[in-house]
Amino acid sequence: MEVDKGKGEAEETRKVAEADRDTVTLKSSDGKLFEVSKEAAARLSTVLAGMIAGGSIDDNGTDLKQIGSEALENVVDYCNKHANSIPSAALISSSISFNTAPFKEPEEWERKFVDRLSHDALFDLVEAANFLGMERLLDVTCHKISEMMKGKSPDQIREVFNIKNDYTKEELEEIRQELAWAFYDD
Amino acid sequence: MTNDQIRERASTDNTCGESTHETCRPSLRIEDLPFDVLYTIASKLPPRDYARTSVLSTKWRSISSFCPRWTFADVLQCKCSTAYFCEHTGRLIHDVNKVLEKHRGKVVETFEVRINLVDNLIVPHINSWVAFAISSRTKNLTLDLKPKWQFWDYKDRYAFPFKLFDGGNIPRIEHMQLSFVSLNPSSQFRGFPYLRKLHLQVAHVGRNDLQHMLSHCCSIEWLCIDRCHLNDDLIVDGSLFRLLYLRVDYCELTKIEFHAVNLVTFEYHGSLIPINIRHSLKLQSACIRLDKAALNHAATSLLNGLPSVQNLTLRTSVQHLEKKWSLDSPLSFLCLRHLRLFMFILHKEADRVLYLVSVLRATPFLEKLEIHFYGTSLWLADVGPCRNEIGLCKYNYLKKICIIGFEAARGQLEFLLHIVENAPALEVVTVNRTEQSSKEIWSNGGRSAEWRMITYLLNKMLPPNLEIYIN
Repeated sequence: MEVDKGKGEAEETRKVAEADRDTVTLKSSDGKLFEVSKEAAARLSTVLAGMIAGGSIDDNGTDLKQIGSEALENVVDYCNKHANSIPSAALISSSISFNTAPFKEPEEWERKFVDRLSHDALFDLVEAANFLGMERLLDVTCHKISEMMKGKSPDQIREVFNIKNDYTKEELEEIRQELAWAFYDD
Repeated sequence: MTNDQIRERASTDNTCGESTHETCRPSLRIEDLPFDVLYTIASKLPPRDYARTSVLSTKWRSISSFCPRWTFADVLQCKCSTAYFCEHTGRLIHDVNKVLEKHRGKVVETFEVRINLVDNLIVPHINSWVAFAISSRTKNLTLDLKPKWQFWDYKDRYAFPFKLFDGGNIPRIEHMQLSFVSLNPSSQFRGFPYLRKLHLQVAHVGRNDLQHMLSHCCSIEWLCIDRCHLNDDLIVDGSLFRLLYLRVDYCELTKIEFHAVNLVTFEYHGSLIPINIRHSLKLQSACIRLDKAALNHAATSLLNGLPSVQNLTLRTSVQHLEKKWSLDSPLSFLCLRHLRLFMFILHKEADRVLYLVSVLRATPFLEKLEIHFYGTSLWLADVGPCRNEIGLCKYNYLKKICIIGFEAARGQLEFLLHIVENAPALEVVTVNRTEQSSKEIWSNGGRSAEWRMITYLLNKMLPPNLEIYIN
């Protein structure tokens, strides 16, 4: 019995130590703490991988001054979901469609993940992903924004994204003529 | 502190919830994003939408002129009469030429032309566009020239201008789609050293030319050859070390042979021919769709051609079953873990269902088996041999079996019981009467009383230690 108990305790301490090693704590610009699996962080973010490898991870929360808590929560959420999802079998998309960019279509859960975000949250997440060097998350969020632009007229896009048209009338006319092929069915 | 606790704290501290958040900041700030992020967003647009972004503002213009991507397509082609169509094509050519003239010497990342090759007059234009793509160091080139209507009626193809590559011009192309072209590379042609993805569609090409071209594309990772009628062997003996994905669709081949040691995925549609990708030891999945074959012949042929496959899907449109308990091959699929068989059973062969055991004998390490029955109805067909005639056969690694299209025919039932009795590691049995998609048809009450009876009997017959799902 004694032996068993000792073994149990050792197991317990080992587990705690393992838990310590397995996660990193991140601190948002407004001081909130988030925990994320070290493995996922290192795999998904080149910046965090560099920090982990370089030992510049703070156990009390690594400061990420550029990222607000809402965006950081989404980043952590994404990392956790990514760790739990089953990766596709084929290394490259087996779809027959000929994508010009070497980009794998978002998986179902990734689509849902970005669809539920408000516009502002989406932009914050793009910035966070860019800052942390999270290539896949950046790809997925940028894909979502491009979906929002697809098939819209320039005026519609300007309205949705609040883009100021800073051309003179003459400049605009010149560009439109040059791009006549892209505006045939308008 | 667990993540949930942290998150909980974060959300309670956050007094500015999502709804108020929208009003906290006045606008979306897409233009505040860094230049390279904006480019990433823009580059995910189809080329036409991409080009149109330059109208938005001067900032967007600087993005798209930094890295032009063009597509020229007959967007109206399906709506208009021939006369209008010709006029439209003329206008398209005119525009393309004008744009190219203006950008001569610049880098154009993506160049995409979709135009119907119904008139040879446009050939010189296409030639000059390809020349432009080469001089502009284009990475993604699409030439889709196939006529929208009945392209198989057209004999002519656009002769891809390989001579443009002869003068020491190393093409920078990484992705290329060529539809409705003919390929005759000159003997000096040294290949596309940067090409990673190639999609050939309804192209005219001979065996030697295709072989010559492919064996000089040593960086290729993704290859799809679609409806290029070779009527000959497709053999690439040069090593394609990087090839990960290979798909061959309806090419009327007599044989396929690739030396691709790192191949991960292989897909083939067409008639049963000898396939040899024996060197692809890392083959994760193969999806084979045959027009017409006997199951034994198909399985024996695949066993010889892709013995290292780990996941195999085999579907034959018109399938025959032979009265044989084993394949004509001493080999086994030693890496096969997951097998999906789509069994088309002819009505007159309803008594041969159980003979599909012949394939399973060659899969000693199989873990998951999925069999879809379709075709003629086997409903309660009381014909064929019983499982005690099979002889010794063990499936020691099989954990899951799934039968879809189960109609309680004797062959199906005997097969199921044979597996259950000889698979000591079996954990899960799933038996579905129909494919999920056709469920509605059955919900109208068709044979539901009988099915309830069958469900009851199956539950009694199958060992209670298994997870059983019957639908």
